[in-house]
Amino acid sequence: MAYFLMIVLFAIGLTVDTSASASKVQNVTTVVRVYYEGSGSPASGANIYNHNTNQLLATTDAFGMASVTTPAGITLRVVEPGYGGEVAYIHGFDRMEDDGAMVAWTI
Amino acid sequence: MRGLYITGIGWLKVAGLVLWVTLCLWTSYDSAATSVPDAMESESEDLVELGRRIFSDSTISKKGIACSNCHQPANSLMDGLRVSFDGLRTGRRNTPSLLTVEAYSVFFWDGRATSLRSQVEGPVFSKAELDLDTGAVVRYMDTASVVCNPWKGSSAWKTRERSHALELFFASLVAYVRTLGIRVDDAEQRNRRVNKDTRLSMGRTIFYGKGGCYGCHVGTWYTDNDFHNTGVYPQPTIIASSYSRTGKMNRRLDYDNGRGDVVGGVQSLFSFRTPSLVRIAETAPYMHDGSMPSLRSVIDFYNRGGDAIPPQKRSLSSAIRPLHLTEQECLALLKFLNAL
Repeated sequence: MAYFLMIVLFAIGLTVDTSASASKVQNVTTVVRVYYEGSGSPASGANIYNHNTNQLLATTDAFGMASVTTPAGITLRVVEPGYGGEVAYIHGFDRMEDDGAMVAWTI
Repeated sequence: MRGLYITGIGWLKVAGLVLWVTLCLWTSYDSAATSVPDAMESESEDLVELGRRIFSDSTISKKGIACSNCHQPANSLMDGLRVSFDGLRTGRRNTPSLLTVEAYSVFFWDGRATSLRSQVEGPVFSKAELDLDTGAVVRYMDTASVVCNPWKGSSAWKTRERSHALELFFASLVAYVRTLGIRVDDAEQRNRRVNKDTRLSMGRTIFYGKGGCYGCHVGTWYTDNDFHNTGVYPQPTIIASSYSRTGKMNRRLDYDNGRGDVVGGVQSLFSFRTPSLVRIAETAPYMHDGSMPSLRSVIDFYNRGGDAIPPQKRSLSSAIRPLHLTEQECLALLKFLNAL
């Protein structure tokens, strides 16, 4: 039986560059929760990288949670811990659609 | 007086008997109280025997597999497959042989374990392998028929069962795995024999010279325990899910980042631990992904300067370049490697 990581992700735009565009985002704090599909058990120890530079940004805790703040627009790579054969790419955004309000993705 | 004397001897006998029984009980209790951790440290025969039983017990996992499914004693302690297979799905990497377990200070192809103990925990708790949790290990140690550890039933076992069960489980597996590997003095003896063999001199010269093998394959075990991107053509073996701002997700296959998924830095991408070359002829197929079926194919790979594609090139080892070995030199090197 195959199993998959399932990423639940919340992204919050923090800094807004009002001079260029009212909705332009400079930095994004992304809160990631990683768990296994099916069992729902949290995936602790999942590394989160800036995919472009392979810089290690954070590792999920015992609850499968981690928070990273990055420049807008970058791609994050979440790596399944241990023997995992899975990664997840979270493609960053650089514009807020709802006046800077929280953007939440529950996938 | 005679009777009293006899009676006196009788009391002495009784007293002696009581003292002996007391001493036996005390010794027994003391032994039970300390034998589990002591034995774990000394890697006693009992501990090794317990590890041997666990290693090949397929009832341990719900999948019906054991450690010995991939590390087969009759197959150089590997499975001979390109990548591991747990009976349900294929893994992403080649099963390393346990013959050279003593060679390493870091474990797994990506070095994510820094001790044999933490390495052993990997497949036990991995969903991709045995898929146990700590509770399952404790239950197994308490109920499995193959587990007849000598401390089971002792007062120490009963009172400290849970904490001991986990320790005993892993200590016994580590103790057993250590008995499987080639001993360092045996490896040194092999090396001395190979280095004295004049028929291997040409291959040895290439290994230490033009071939550049010794840059990474150093020491008694022919490994530097370090990580290198040698430009093995990447196989898309990783399930990659992509998430966009609209929440859409798609899945595809992606390349194995190797060490780059364990530590940060561009240089770690596509890098894998240098494997030991001791008895390398027995452990085909080769490379982290088992993509090379023979040592000859490995030599040909290095001789042409690897097969790196653009995503790999920014972390490719500087030692990877065409070697320009002649056919005769390739054959001599192959002969040398087969003798290691």
